[in-house]
Amino acid sequence: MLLFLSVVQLLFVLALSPLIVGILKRAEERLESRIGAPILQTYFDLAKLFRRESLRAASASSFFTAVPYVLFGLYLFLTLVLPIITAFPLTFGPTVDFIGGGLVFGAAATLKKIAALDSRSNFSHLGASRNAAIGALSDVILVFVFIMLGVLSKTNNPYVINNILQTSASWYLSLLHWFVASAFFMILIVETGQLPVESHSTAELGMIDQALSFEYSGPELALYQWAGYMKQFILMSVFLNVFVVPFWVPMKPNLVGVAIYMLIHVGKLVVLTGVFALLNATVSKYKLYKNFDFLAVAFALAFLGSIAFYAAGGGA
Amino acid sequence: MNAIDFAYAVPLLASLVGALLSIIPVLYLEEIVSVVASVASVLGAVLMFTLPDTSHGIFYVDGLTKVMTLTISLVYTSAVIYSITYLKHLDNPLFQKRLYYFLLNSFVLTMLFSVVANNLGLIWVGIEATTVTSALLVATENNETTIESAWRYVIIVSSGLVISLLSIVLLYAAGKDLQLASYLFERGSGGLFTAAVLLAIVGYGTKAGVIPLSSWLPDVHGRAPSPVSALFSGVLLPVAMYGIVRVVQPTSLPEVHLVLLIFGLLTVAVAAILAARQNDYKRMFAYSTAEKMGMILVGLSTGPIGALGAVLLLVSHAFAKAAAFFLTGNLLARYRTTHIHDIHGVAARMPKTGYSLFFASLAVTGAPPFGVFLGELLILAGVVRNYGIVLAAFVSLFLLIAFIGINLRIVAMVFSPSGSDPMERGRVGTFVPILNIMLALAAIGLAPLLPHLLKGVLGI
Amino acid sequence: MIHYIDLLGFFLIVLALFMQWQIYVTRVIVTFATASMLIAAALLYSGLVSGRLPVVILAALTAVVRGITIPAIVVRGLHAKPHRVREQKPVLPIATSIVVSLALVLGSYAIYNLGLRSAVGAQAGFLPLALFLQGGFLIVTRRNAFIQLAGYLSMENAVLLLGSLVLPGFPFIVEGGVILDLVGVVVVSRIIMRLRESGQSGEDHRHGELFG
Repeated sequence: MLLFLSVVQLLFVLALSPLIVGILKRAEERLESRIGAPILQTYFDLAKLFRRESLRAASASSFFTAVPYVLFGLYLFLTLVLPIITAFPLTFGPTVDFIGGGLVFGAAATLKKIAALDSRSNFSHLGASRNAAIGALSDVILVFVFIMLGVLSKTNNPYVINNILQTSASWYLSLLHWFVASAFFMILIVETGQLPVESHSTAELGMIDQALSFEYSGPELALYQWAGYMKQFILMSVFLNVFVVPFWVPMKPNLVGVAIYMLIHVGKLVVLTGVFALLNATVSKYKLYKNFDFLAVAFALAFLGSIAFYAAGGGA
Repeated sequence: MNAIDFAYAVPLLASLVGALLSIIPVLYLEEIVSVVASVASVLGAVLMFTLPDTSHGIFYVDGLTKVMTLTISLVYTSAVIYSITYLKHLDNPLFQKRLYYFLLNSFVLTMLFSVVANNLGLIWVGIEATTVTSALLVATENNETTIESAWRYVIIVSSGLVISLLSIVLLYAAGKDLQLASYLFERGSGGLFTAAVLLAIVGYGTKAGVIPLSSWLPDVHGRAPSPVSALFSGVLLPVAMYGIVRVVQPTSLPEVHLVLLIFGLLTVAVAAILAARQNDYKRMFAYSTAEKMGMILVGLSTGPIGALGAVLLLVSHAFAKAAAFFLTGNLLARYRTTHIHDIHGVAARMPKTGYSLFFASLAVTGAPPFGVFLGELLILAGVVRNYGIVLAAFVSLFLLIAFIGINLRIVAMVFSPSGSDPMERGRVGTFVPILNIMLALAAIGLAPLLPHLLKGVLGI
Repeated sequence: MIHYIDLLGFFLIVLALFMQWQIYVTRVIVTFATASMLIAAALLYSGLVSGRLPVVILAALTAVVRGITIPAIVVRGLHAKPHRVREQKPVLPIATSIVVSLALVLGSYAIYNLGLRSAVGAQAGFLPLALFLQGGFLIVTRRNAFIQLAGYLSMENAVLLLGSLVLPGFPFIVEGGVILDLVGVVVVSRIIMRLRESGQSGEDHRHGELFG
């Protein structure tokens, strides 16, 4: 049954990640009193891209073409090891722990940057350098956050962390938990490219993540974008399931419970998407160098969480 | 509160009434009222000497308090009388005379309050209040540099005093009662207590002229009007030192004494060298004040003899320095420059001021027979007894550097030939400093009385 | 469950970091006002729980004076000169100063646990020390006079926190005097700052003497 649930989780993430992106775009447009594209538009865009021809610059190597497939594979792998619809480890759960998951995210980001460099285009280089500067800080904070959660549960297993937070009120309400959750929220904004870090326009002034995919076309671009959507879905799910609302996730293998939870999970994601849409409609984009201050504050929150933990006498 | 307690409050009440009545817009009222208040304050201080020590209720009055109250009152009187003629010479005053006298009286009120308060926290409140009242006095002459120095004064001193407030809270945390009556008589020990005392020294040190904490000192003295400078150097810095004395009193820990010694030595050395290199006579005297404050710290760090010398130095220096600043005020009023090298032949052109300046400078730098000399001698004796003769020689070397440097400059100003006409007017402003120099001389007479007065304070 | 003083202390540290983050001076002052209000609320809670009237009065006094009056005085002084509302170039870049603040928090935790904790006895005592150091850090690294004033006021808040909450029973009369002094300092500072920036003061070219 665990294998079955693994496949279900895979298909769940694969199928619904474009939907969440569509909901986000539509919500943003609605908040700005526009009508906006239909929610399912993202699927049609992906299908359109799959039909197109894929071109490659003469200066790029075959590495450039291979990377989107590898990325897609990495993110598929990550869906199998993180708690998205279940709070008990699935078949491939023991492959990597939380920190390993963070490192896989880092590996995927590195591949994206190298592929961008490979294409020798100006915009891609711009995106790669900006991404590297910000990623150097945000990935570190990500791993730090995961480590601090580890001391909470004395393991690195995200499923165990979820279980502890679901059942123990004192850990849920502890300072460590909320500091680390705030830090992760700020990193979530950075990684998924929301305002105030990045806005989705074609102005190169503010492009960080977007510029990386400039040279891709056709099925490669479709897979690249789909991988991006999956990353967003996974990170949001981790944020919800491990940090903020770890409730209602089934802790014991139970098919009916999992099925019910899948609907609840979509609901949680929609709420989080609404929060993001509100954020995007209210704040304005930072100057590029202010992003480092933003990251410094995120690091400060994570660090304060660790001090709060040790000051409260935990983990002697 | 019975009548005797009321008697202790006479100087306070006098300055309070003076402050309040100064605001009333009647011609010359503020000057009359201030003079009356200051004389009443002196009388009250003298009255205090006849009363016994008290330590219950809101006042804590022992020998040290009485000595300081008298000193403050006398310099207060001198400053008020001098201000009457000096204020005419200001170029661009910031506010009216009424407000100046109001602030002056309030300033003295806060200082008097600090020395009689019975609670370490209230002493802090008083010393912080002196910042509030004196900041605008510094800025009386309204120009850019003066305002800048006033701001520097406010921020540096306020930050320092927050550190002392922290130290008071830590003293409380160490289990000490903040009432002076009990605090002064329990031996203090322990890590937290030591840390608190050291923080208090650093905190009050920003106000008491300790180098490198008091970087505002030369700037403020260079720009403030002379009566205000006189009050600062003569009494405000000693009142801040009083804060340190009260905190340090119940301890004989070697770490504390070592820190006092180090700060004192550093201050004396740096101030002496800088004083000898100044081109501006007001700043030169400011550094000289810092040097004397350093000597007081050195005196506090040794045993009873040094402490006795420190108190004597404090009192006589107050008068001598006040005289010096009043005289420099006269110089500024006539010569319109504070540069030493631009002034020649003061003895010929302003004889009373010139000769008085010569004697005041001798008094300030520690020449016999003035009280400052005796105070420093006692302090050096204490250093020899506790720390050896080498250190005493070291300290004397810096005192000598300051002595020579300052007096050379003063002599160059006073006794150099000048072809111009006499321009002194012989107003009250010339006689007040002479009075003060006499007081500095008379302070030697205080010396035999001090051991009896200060019994129990600082191990005397 | 978290002790409410720990919660307050860490929130105040977060607010202090926000003050490091801000460029607009008004926001720094407003953050300080928020911090003061939080302290007042915690004092109120402590006073009600322990049933001591002086603490409740102190809470009210803190809220009114430190939370409302003093920020109002400072902000009024700000709006007189709109171009002073931002600090363009702090001495240290903001990210660096945030990291240094964190080092100060860590340092105060270390110092407190190594030295003072056994003597003071309260576990959360390193929090006021951290806030104190962060206030001092603001004074040292910023050139704008209003932000320096905010740093000074934060240091005073930290001492209030230590004196009244972490170590209950500090004499009330001293706290009352401290508050009076604070109002005095802020009023005088505002007057001086207004003079500094109004340019109404006479021209004087001897500024160089202040550097010697």
